[in-house]
Amino acid sequence: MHYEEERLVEKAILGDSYAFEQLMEKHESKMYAVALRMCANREDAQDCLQDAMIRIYKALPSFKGQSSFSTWAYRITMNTCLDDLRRKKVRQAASLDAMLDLGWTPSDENDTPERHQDNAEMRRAISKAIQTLPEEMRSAVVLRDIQGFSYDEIAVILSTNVGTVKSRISRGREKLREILSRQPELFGRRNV
Amino acid sequence: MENEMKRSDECERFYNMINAYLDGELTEEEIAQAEAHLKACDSCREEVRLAKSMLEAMNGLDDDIQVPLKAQAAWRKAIRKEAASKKTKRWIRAVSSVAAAFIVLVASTVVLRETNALPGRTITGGLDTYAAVYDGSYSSGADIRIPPADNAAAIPMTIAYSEALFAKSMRQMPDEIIMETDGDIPIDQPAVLVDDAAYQESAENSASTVLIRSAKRICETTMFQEEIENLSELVVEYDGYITEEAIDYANVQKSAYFRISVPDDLLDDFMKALENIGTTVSVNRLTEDMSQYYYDAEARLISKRQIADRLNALISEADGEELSALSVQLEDCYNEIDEMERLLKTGSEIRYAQVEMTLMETGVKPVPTPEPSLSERSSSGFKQSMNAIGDFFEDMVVSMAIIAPVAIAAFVLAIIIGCIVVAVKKKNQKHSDNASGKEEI
Repeated sequence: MHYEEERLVEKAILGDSYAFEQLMEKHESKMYAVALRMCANREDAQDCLQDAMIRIYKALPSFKGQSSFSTWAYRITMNTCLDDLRRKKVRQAASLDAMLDLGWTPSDENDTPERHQDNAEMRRAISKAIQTLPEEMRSAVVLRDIQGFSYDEIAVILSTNVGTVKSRISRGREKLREILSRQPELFGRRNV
Repeated sequence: MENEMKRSDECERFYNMINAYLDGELTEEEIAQAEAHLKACDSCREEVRLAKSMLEAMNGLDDDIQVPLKAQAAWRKAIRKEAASKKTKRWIRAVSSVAAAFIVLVASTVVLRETNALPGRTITGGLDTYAAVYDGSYSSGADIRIPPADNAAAIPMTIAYSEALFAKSMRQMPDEIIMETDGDIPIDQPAVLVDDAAYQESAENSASTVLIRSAKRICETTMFQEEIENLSELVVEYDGYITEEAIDYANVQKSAYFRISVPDDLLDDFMKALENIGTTVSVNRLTEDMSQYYYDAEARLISKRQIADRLNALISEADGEELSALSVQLEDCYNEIDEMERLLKTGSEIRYAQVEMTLMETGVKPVPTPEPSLSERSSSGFKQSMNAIGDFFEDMVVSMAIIAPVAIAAFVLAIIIGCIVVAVKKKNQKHSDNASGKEEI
């Protein structure tokens, strides 16, 4: 664990809430993004973010550095989201609208306006497709292909083994390709 | 057809490794094989192209997502609240632990004080106190604070003390004789009941009712010493004798207690004569059915003799205050033996009545003490209270020392139990993790 991070964790364990806020500042966006991908809507994602933060804060004394702090924090976030989903019995979440409501736009400013528009549509199509995946595949694909975690990290976050993670990602991507191939205008698919 | 089948198998093999290919996890040999297949297979090439553009689009898809300000504020607020409650909880836990420990200590101190289990601390009551007060030298190893003298309590307690001391010495004897005493049994009701055979025999001889009269007189006098001498002469004059005598010179107001036996037929005259001694405060007269006493006489005579033997045996080993107390007891025992022998010899010829006489000195004016002022009273009250608190805290320290070994043992035990519980929990957790492939947060 990074020295600064370690110092903040120690201070937070002793009850310093400002140290905790500082510690979580760089993770909150990513945590929220994961929650948005997993939850049914924006409000649920925000609730999950808050619940996850409280759970992390309470569980801090039990964090023994067996994994990196961020992996541990995302694991709690993911569990919070999955718990929320199970509690609400919502299997097929649809947070895309929520994301669009947030005014989220693609970031690549170097793109030409035309390409920009293409990208935006492509991303929207991908987001929609991701939302149709079952939560197990969705969580693995989101962590791997959107957030860029390694297979090992994902195995820790999802509390499973690397083989399972690979299998979920493989099946998830296959499903996504299947959905996206139906939109050849966006992905230029000629024939499948 | 054969060609198509072959191609399909290759496509299948490539399809299985497409993710590893995309993630760059294939060996060089596998990459060469895959690329050779892609060159030849349009369908797989298209699949890879689609997959690559999809992954490209997904990569960093959410990088620009920001947490809404409202949500940022919400979780921070929740954390601060949680931190505050954690602090409060920690504070409450600390305070309640200290309070609980203090209560345990105070309660232990109170119990230890009440049970006189504190070494070197004042005894506040009980037989030993009176023993020490009226015997003057007896010590049980504790500092003894003398309570305010009380004449009424003084005399019976002197008797109680000697009875108790005797009972104590009897307890040290072999169990041949059974003592039944609560330390305050009047002498005319035997404290010793033994030898069932003798008792039975004398009970069988019972024939008629025997009535014994007794009287109690309490009087005051200004000439204390003279009146005591007068009383002794009077007793001799009426063929009586003093069975018990206790004179208290220790107090400003002296007092004396006598138990006198006089022939029953002379009781009335004797009581009349007693009127010349002091000023009467109260006179009680009583007639009791003493049949049982007489029937028991023979049995009791046997047991009294046994007791006298025992006392003699004890006296030969005793020293100090025990010796003197036992001597008094032995003397009383002999008196009773004499009385019983006389009773048995004379049968109903001479019956004795019991007279208890208490003589108190009057006319001694207590030295008037000036009434203390409010400030003096307050300061003395404050001092008294401070002393009491000081004493209590001192006792608490001593109690702590008494409790310490037990507390340390309990603490060590709690740690051991805690370690075992934690170990078992960890083991169970590991087991369940292995079983479910999940780890608890």
